[in-house]
Amino acid sequence: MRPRPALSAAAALLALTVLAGCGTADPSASLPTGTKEGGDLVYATDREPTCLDPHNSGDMPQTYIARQYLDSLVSMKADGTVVPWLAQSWDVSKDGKTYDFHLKKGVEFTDGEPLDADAVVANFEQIMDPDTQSSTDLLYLSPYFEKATAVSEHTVRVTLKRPYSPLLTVLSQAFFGIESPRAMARGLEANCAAPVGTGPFKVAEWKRNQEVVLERNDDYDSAPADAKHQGPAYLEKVTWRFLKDNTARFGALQSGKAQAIFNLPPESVPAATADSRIDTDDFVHSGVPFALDFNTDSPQLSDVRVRRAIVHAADAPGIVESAYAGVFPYEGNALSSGTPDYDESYHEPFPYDPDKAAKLLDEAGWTGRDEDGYRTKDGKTLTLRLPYNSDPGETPPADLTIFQNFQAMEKRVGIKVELQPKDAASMTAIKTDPTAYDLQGRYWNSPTPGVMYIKFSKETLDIDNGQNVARDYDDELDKTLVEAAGTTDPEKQQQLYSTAQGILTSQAWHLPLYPVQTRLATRSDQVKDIWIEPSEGEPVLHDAYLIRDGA
Amino acid sequence: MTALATAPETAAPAAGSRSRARRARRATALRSASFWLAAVVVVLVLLAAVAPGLLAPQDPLEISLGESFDAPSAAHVFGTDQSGRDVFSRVVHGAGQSLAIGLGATAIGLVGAIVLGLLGGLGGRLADASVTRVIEVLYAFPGILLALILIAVYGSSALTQMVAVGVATMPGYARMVRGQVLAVKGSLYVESARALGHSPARILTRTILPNAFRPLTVLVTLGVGQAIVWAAALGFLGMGVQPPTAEWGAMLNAGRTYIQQAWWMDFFPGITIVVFTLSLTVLGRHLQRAADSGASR
Repeated sequence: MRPRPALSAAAALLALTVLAGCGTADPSASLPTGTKEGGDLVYATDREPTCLDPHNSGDMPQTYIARQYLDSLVSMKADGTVVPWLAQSWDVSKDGKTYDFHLKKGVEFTDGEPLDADAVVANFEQIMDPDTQSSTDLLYLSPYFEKATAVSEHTVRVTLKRPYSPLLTVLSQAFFGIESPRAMARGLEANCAAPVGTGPFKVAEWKRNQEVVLERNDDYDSAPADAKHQGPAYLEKVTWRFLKDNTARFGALQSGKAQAIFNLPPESVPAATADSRIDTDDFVHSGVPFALDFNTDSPQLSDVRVRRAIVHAADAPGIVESAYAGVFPYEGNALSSGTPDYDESYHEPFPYDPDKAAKLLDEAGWTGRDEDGYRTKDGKTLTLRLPYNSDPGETPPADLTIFQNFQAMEKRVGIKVELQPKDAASMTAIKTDPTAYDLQGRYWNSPTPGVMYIKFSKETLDIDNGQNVARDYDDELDKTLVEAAGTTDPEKQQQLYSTAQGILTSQAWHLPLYPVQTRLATRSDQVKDIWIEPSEGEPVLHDAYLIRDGA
Repeated sequence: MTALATAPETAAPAAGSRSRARRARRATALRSASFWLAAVVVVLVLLAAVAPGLLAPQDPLEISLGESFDAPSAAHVFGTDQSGRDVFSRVVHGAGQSLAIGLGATAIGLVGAIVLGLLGGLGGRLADASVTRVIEVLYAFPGILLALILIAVYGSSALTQMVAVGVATMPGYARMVRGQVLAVKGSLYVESARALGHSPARILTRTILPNAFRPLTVLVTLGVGQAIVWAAALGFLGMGVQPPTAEWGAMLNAGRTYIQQAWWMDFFPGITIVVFTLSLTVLGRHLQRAADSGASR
């Protein structure tokens, strides 16, 4: 039995190489130059959805893939204007509480069901049904939604409890894609595995932990008004592959085993930029930036002085700069800079100031020290548990670096941060168990500043599905945000949302770090016209085509 | 090398004998040089494990955001990582972790193996048959897989990593112990001890164990190196000690992400693992040779 030092490491490397090397598509074929027909695209992405029906739960990977097989009622353009999609027009009542959507005629789901008013009503009902276990959609709708009714065969009326000015923007997300009522009636599990929409592709097969195979919907004729072309997609097949290892995913693109990858890891940006065959498309999400949320149910964090001390103790811009190699900017506001009505004066509200942090902690009574130098009060060490998903697809290496940097900086002022790697199941449990965490790294991508109400209101705290991570609310903030949703006057909205950002800053319920950015990287010599829609940064493959030999 | 070293003792044509003798001398010199080099490396690593502050005064956990990804220089001989931590300090402080896991795992493997081996060697036919089956079943799994299973069940920490690697190394040692015990049990000197009327306990501790274990000591020296490599492999796969704790395998994993821009993050922990385990192997071989010549005397 001779030890073979290099062998185990070599085996691990080999496993990586094999992962990187498992592609199938061959873009070369015999069609003439310039045609946009046909082809199989391999699209490698970092995260696998838990359910292909985006109404359930509502995490980012769901909306990315759902965009390929579901159409929404409306579509949002980059300037924020909303254009027709399945709804070719709509009327809003004067009080802002009734929306009549007039649907396109002659549209069918890929299972043959017609798209009519009843089908859309069934979608709203499914979203509001507790059995669907919706998180994202439910939080967007439930504070406002009253009912949806079919006025005529092709007119749906949505009635609201109170006005909701961002409603159209909200409905443009693939999270609100319209699904076949017959497919939804199969129950959550079957619908999760293969939801049915009216979109340009249909789900053919989901090989878990591996890929989803999407096939072209040859009858497609309901593209949004802002699509690059109407009619069926050019691609015949899309292999939506899950390659969560950053190095392997980028390797797949370099070797041409995948024609597009999402996300391009930040650490690979220099290499991608240097490679003339690789095009990158960056998308800065609007909404709430990636932040460390503070659980105010924890006794030590119920004190705002401690929360502010934590923020002052962290050199947040430096932390982000080091982890994201200068590729991602820093954001200290409760809203990312691209969000409508973002107020720049809260960009860096609590500058790095360890002395001030120490003073605040002293004031809060954390004056003792334990044998390791951490602060104590009444014999208890100031400890903060920070659980995170140990899966590198969920917590990318750069985020892990952020956590470590944060931990080291808090240590300097005597705060002990415990990094706790957890599996996916434990993380899900932690979200709804306020005793299980003190800090969590979270973000909320959204096209509207109304997202602040989702993350920090009494109403969403009462829904208790773990999205109000700080587990706190402020009456003044609630009032301000409800008022903002009730007005359509842009100036008044600006002013109210600005007030809200100020309140959130002074509460210090979180330490915002960076606006979430996603990066699509494509092989420019193999594929063209994949574009990113602006509501949630969903990649759109409907207009994409592969480049033939000699093209 | 053994053949070369003993060559001059055999009758050889006079013409070739001088160059052969020179070659043999060179081989011996080389061997002793490699022995001393290996010994120095092992002593250094031991020192790093016991008193890391002596070799690397910098705190391995202390970040310095302005100095991230600094290439090796006089201030940071192994460069810095993504948080500006000193890679040299981390390699030095990682020695304790790696060594503790390596030694701990080997100890666990040995204790289990001795129990199994003695049971099989001395416990009668039924016990022997069951022990052999257990060893065979354990052998059926590649060691690293066995370790992965244990970690999947019990979660990742230094302790599980130690136990996992220990259990994975157990069958190899167990088989050897059993074989040695069986061989020694039937030997003349055990029979004579019995004839002298020694108690079974005394025969076991004074006669059987020392003789059965001599080859084991050599194997253990080699085994520690292997255990360290396995522990590093688990750390590399994210199954071991968690960051930011300095551990060689975990450092390799962290550095892999940045290999295109900061090669030193992987190179130095990697080369340390290679040099250290190689040194242990060299020492083990020397011990083995010493044991062999001792046995033949």
